[in-house]
Amino acid sequence: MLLAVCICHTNAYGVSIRSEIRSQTGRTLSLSAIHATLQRLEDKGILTSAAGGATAERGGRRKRLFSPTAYGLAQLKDRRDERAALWNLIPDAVLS
Amino acid sequence: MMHRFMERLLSRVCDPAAVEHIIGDLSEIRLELNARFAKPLATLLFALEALRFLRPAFLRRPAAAFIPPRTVRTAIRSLRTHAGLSGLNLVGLSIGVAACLGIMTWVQSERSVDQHHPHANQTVRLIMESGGHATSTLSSAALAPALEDAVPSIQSWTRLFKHWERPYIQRGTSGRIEPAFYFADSTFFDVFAYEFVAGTPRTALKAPHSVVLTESAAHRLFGTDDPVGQHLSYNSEHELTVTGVVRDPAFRSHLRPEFIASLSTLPKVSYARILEEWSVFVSYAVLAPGTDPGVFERQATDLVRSGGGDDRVSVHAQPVTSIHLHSRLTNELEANGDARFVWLMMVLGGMILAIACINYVNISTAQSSRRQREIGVRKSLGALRSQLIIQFTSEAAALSLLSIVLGVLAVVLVSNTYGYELGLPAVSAAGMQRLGSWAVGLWALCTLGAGLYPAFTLSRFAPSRALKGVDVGVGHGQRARNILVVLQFTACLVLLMGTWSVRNQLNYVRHSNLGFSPEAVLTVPVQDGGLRARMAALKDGWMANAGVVAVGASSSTVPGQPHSGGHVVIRPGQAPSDGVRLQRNWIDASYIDALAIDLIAGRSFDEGSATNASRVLINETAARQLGWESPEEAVGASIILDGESLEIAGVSSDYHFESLHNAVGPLLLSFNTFSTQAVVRIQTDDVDGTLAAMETVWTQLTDQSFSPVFLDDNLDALYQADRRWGRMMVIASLLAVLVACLGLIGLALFMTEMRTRELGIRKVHGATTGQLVVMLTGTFIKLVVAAIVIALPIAWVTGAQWKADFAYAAPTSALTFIVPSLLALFVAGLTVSFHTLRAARKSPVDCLRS
Repeated sequence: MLLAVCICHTNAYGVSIRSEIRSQTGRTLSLSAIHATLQRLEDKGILTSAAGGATAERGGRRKRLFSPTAYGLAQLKDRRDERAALWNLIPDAVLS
Repeated sequence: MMHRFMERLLSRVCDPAAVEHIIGDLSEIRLELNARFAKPLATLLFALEALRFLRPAFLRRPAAAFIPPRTVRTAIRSLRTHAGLSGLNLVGLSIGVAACLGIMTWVQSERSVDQHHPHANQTVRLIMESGGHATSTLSSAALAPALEDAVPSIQSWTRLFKHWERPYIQRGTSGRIEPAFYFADSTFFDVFAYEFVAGTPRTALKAPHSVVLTESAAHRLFGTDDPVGQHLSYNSEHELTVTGVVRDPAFRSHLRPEFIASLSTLPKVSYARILEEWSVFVSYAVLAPGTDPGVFERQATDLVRSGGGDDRVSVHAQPVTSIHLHSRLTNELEANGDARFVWLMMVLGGMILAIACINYVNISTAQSSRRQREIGVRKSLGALRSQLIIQFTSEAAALSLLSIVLGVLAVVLVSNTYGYELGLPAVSAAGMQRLGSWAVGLWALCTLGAGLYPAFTLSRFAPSRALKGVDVGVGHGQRARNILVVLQFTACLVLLMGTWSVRNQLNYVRHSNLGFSPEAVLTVPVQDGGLRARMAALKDGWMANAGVVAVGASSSTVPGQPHSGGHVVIRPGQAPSDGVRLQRNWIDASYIDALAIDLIAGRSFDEGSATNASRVLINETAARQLGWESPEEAVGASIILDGESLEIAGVSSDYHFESLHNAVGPLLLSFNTFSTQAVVRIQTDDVDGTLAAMETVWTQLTDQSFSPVFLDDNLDALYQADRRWGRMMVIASLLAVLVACLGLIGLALFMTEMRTRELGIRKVHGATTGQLVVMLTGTFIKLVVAAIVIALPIAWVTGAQWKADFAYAAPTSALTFIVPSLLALFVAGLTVSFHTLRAARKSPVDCLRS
């Protein structure tokens, strides 16, 4: 989810994140699930959000645009490094 | 629709801070779904997406957690503990509420007819009465203008004419018979509310040959083209110009025109002196505010009498708002409703609701023994009686709230899907609001009606006795319960018997002897001008076919369709005021044969005879009203119609040229070969072959489409309203029986449970299962028998009163009373014995061990 927010960069909100996840993983999440997760991440201080970008197709309502906080990015990098380290520990024989 | 609702729902319940972007995201999703899926599927998927937001994460955080008041909690708990019986109560009450609300919506729609006109309360229809008695809606064209000059309280007036010959309206080569074709004065739109889409109301009906269409008629004829200024052909002979289009009225009215032509067109397309000579118009006047209708009637009557010299004639000002429910004259513009039936349905709705409330009372008082301990504990811990009353009432309130919600849902669903078949109007936004306020009223009514009695009786128990387990339950209030069950079944039986006799009457009407034979008779409209001239060739062509028995024609109308009214006939030497007002039809020589009308004296017109034009046929009633003792005396005598002397050639039987709601009135048949409808009697053995052969002859003579209609289908349409009423009554009374049976199931369930031990002991002492079932079922059957005894005289008297209103009443048959009684016994026996059988089959060991 956090990755998807990063991918969407300046346009990360419910619908765009949903379509990003669908195009990358083929999984269709319900909108409410995405909203719930985003909210949880924001509560934990991993994401921050701002209002903006009203369009006609939204009936003039503003989007809630999410971006990762510095803490969130650090967490994300930690996870990647952690995972990369684990990958590196797998003996080559297993993978080949 | 769906997304509006969801948006409102979410903005109501969701956290205000989050609402904006949630709804925004959802609208994007909706557009995407709409693009990808078919409409219904997209709506469904959207609803699912939206509903998933109803989870704790998004809900509005209340200032303080909501804790329902104690009474509500205990009410819900107690309903849950006795889920089975509460379920029965719930289903019963929901049905009762749904039936009641459905009936209320229908009644509201019947009562709203003609309320929307700009001066509805000041608008009257002018009815000519003779000797204080009105027969027809028709009056002379001179009436309204004369009144305007003489009576100052008339603000505006208008006259209508609806032709008994339904015209053939054509655009280019395609056309059809239009039954809703009216002629009206240019002031029509001052009196009746119509919203113009195109054209100007003031001038649209001024010039001759102009016509105003409703949107649906315009769409049918012109599709998406702009109709204004286009031409339509009237009976292939006259050209009309469209001068305006009005919106299809959203409200109901006693007149439902689709085409309104200017009244000045009428003399050009029909009889040239029709406005001066014939009394075939319906006149309306708008009175100045505050005018006393009585004074107006007197002034109008004085004026009419001073002109005609006849002092039996008077003018009656019939309020336009009362026409739909209260007016039953001949030559009504459209089929009207019936105030009696509205009352009947209201009584029915009330009865169903009462039966459902009685269920609740019975089941909850029967349950009292189960709850005596609870009551005892509450009382000994210091509960006041008033507190217990509030507790029991709120149980009733909770249950009825639930059933009101279910009932409203059911009404909305049913009337929006099967509404047309049942005669229920679809629920609009305004209707929804009304439904809501009625629901609140019904809620209060159900809560008090169902909850109050049990609350008072249950709270009366003395705590000492209740706690000791002294039996205050089973026997308690048994008599009251029995009386209520008898009451329920009496109501059901009266309803069933009533429904049966209504159906009986309707069947009788449809199958009684009409005085002519409508089976295997085709009517074929022949309004194409060219075809009229080749009528003889058409007749000969058809008669050459062996399947065709007789071909007659009318230049006006056939039985079951409106006839020309208001013609006054006198005998030589009589004053015009003593004349007989009769209805009239124009026929050719073989019309009588084609319809197999009985001639009881004299003979019909002769084919090709020159004297036909000066001869007429009349019916038996006309002969009697004109003063002849027997039909034979009338033959050969002369009468005067519109100043012309005519010879009576023959007298026909009183065949039913109108529906059997009306007694047969006086009728005059004149000769005319200028046909508008052919009447063809055919053999019944090869109908398809005969029709095909007739069409072949037809297509050689004209390019108008061949559209024959069976006369009996046509006549059947006269009783459509009756059938719809019959259906509504059947449904309502079956619902009543269903609800009453639900109550019986509840009581039986409870009784058998309470008497399990007794049954065990009886079995140990040698009673058989059969004996036990008979014993248990018998207690209920006795109640039903009592109900039958009470219901019989009530149904008898009301049935007799109802039938007195029909011109031709069906004889009362014993089946009317026997069948519903047996049905009630059977259904009650079945529902009860199902439970008693189960109880009686239990092993006594299980029963006694508890």
